[in-house]
Amino acid sequence: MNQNAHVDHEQLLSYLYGECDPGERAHVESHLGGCSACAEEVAGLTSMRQLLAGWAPPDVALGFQISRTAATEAGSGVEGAPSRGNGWWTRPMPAWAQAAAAVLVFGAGLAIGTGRTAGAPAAAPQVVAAAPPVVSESPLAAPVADDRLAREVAQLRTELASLRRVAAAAPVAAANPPLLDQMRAMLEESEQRQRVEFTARSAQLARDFEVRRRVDLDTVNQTIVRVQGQAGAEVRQQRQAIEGLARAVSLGVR
Amino acid sequence: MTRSRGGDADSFNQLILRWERPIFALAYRVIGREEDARDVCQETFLRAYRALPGFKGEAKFSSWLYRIALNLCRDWIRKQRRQPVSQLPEDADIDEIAASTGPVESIEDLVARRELTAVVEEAMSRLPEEQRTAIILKEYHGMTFQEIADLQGCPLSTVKTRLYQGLSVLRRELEQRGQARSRMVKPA
Repeated sequence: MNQNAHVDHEQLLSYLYGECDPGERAHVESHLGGCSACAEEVAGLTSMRQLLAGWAPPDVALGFQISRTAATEAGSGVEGAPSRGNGWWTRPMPAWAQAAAAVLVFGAGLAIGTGRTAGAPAAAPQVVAAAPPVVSESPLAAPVADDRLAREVAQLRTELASLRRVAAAAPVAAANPPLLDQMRAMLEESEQRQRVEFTARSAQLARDFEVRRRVDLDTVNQTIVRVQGQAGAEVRQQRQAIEGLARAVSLGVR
Repeated sequence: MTRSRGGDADSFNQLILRWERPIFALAYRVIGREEDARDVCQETFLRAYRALPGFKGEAKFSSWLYRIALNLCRDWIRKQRRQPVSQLPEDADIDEIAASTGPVESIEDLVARRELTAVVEEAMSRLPEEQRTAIILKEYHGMTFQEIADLQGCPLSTVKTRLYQGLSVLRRELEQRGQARSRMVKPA
């Protein structure tokens, strides 16, 4: 391409926004090195882009969401709310609650299974008497390959059997069933762990925010000092220009 | 996307969470009014949710969403038949704004915005809608020339011409106001 010809605006924009191939980029850069007009054009557009980068929309709370009624009714609407979620049923279940629910479901299933397969009620005390976890001889344990899992299954089955025995034999429970106590302990432990973790994360967030705030304040102070300096220089220049003009006018009048 | 298309509101709300800020930013810069930009943003997601079953996935979801938003902005401009105006109060207290906006936006950003917003917004408002939209999509949403051309329904060269003319006009206006002079970048 003729080096004397200026770069057209399409090439210029492709170069400015980095959307040209290496060959085209090299050609434009080579031309800019020898053409002050095009170089000034690029510099001016680059400066313009820098100014535009400072234009930001206000940081407002949005939080739009499709409401549940909107999703099902014809007259739908999008709610703009600062908080999300319509009710407790929309919130995700905590991990500890999920674990407790899984244990309950699993235990209920085992209870049903042992209830169907167990023979005389006298068999349950035999299992309960073995306090340390033992591998059950029930057919349900047969498919379990992992020893640890088998022991845990046997323990749960033992505890559920004891619950059934206590409920069936005693009109009044002497104390809380051990399974419920164990579950309460598990839940409390999980809650405590989550509280500790949440506190640690909150503290870390607060520290990070404080660091960022200090950095931003320092940057702002530097910017203000710089702007004040520039403004002062411009005011002095204008004053000098006005004084010079006044002198010239007075000399001309004389 | 698949769950949203099946009418799952929660899944669509996740999409809203991802796109509400960019769509609001687009609407605000095109329209220039915060409350109206919120309305456009809200209407965009409502229309998108209603039309989602018909979205075939041939284009990017973001492009489809942007098209809805731009159409709504265009409708708003035609309805209002006036130029967007700057909304930042000239006597705004920076500390107060910083305290109210929280840690998301730094004070340095607020200072820069206070200096530039009024001038840039006014200059942008004078541009023809197509030039202004092309600049906004390119500068603030990182779209390629081709993506802008697809959104605006025009050839690639037209997009570049709009961008070039718009930037040149902005540059001339801001230079006249003395904004760009002190920030001129020396050619490499």
